[in-house]
Amino acid sequence: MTPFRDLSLWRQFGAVVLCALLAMALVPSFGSDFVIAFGFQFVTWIGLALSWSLFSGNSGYASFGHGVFFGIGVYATAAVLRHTDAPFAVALVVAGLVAAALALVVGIAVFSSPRFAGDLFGMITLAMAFIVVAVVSNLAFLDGGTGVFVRELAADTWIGESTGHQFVVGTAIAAATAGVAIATSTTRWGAALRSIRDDEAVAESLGVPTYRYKVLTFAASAGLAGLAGAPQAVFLGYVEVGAVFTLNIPLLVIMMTILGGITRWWGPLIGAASVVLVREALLDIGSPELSQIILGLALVVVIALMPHGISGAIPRRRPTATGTTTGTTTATTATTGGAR
Amino acid sequence: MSVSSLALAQTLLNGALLGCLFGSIALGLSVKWGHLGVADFFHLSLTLLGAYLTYSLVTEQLWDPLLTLLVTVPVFFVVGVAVQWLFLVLRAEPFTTLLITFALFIVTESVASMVWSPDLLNLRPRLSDGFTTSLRFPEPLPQLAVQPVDLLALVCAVLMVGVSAWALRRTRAGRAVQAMRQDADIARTLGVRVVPITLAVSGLAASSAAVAGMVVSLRMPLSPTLPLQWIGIVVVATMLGGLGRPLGALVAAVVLMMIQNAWSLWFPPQWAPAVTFGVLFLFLAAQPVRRFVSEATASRRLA
Repeated sequence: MTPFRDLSLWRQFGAVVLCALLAMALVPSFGSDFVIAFGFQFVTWIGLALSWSLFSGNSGYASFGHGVFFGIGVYATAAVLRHTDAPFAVALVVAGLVAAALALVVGIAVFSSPRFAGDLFGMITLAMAFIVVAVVSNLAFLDGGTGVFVRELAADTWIGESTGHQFVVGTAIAAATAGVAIATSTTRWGAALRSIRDDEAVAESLGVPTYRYKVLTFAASAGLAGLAGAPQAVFLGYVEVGAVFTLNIPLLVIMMTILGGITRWWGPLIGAASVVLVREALLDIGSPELSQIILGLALVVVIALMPHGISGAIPRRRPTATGTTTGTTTATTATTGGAR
Repeated sequence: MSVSSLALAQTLLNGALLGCLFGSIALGLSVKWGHLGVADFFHLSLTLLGAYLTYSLVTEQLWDPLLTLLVTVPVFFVVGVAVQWLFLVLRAEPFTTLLITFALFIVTESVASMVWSPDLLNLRPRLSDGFTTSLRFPEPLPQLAVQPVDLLALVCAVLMVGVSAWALRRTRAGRAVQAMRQDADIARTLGVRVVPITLAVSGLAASSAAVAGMVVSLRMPLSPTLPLQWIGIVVVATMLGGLGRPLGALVAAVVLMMIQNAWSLWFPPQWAPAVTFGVLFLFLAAQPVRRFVSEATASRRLA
């Protein structure tokens, strides 16, 4: 059965589109200002977690650069709005393309050598974060150390009119990301990525073009993060390097994905929802340091106690050709457990 | 713009000595990454904690900075062993250990900011003149000045890196570590006691962070976000020097800091940190070329 004739795949696509349309219709018209703003951050984190997991969760290459791609999306949007009269849609496209282009260049270099696998890849993406921060904070065209006021620039556009419009755009991006995540869960593309995670050498010898898959998926994941950054620029109103490029973003995104689990495409979605809610609850403590400490220690505990995350702990319902329900679950856990 | 040769020499010397400090931070990272497979962000946090502990002991208990090592080195050894023990208990894969040390890195930043405040803390005004009066080279040599703290950094780096490099090469335990790196299972079969050695290496790496932290507290004002400023140079030096090769990391750190300092003489200094990563990316950019060349030669050999 080819994947796109798979009915359950279309059902999942349909469910995502339905949820997104419902959210777009209901939240901006009936929600209070707080609910809309919270909802916007909620869908942004979902988009970020799903797009990180698209590459890193599927292939097993942990990237610490996701915050960079998101931040580049924010700054690209700010720059387009500041220097041109182009509408927001153009800024959105530019944000996605610039982030994807950076990932493409980095990916082409890094993946060409098998030495830069695993933790070395993580370190390189972290180094990339620092170089991008240095570049952005020193180029007057982008920031130049003063920050950019996007609120005034976007004041008389559709997106700048209300937070509700930003929520609609954010939700559309998150839904598109979810669509890509669903596609990777059943297509050859996803299977190829997971074969890289399980054993890259074996995958390569069985004819999987691992280099091409890694480079293109890394770029796609970065592009989706860049898209998520575009409405964020308008939402923040004032954009500055310290707030946009924090290490919090990769930390939280990784935490969401680990918590939710990578064995199912919706794992990061569940993880993102839980972490955002917990963070909101921690705000009441009143000490950002303390809530940071709690989140960090929580990540350690989650890794120690739930290596497969929430979605990995739920048994699969649909039996497949290879075995019964329980048999498939153990087989999946065994493969992913062996790789990680 | 012309720069006098004396100024250039002084700048390069300062860079080299600061590079020694970064080299001694990179030592623990290089050994743990190369030989234990743990890319340890937390090592940088330990260095920061060592610096803050030195600061507190010197300002509150009025200890001599060098005496503080009697406390910090054993305490950090225990911490290093404990962290590695956690990894062993969890049977953590390299990816998992990376995530855990990353989480601990973020946690330490917040802890430091809660305990010691986010403000800059400067130990320098509290030090005796012996630490702060700069020394000059004797007469026939060019009139270069050296900070005593920088000399201390040089001595610590040479001692620690030298001893580690020698121990890895020449001692039985060092060879056991090398054997573990090549194949842990076979090493175990041949009688290498993997667990105690792993724990000891991690403990020693953490102890080196205590020493480096002492130098840091004398050398620069402390703030909880300092590790973010080091991480670039330390990680790049570790990678360029070759994982698990402390001497390579030290040399790389010295060279990188000299390049960075010389850069600031001619170009805007705010770009200097980017130079380090520029070197790394040049190194990375050479990889596709290398791959292409090696594949081309391999296919020619097959044909």
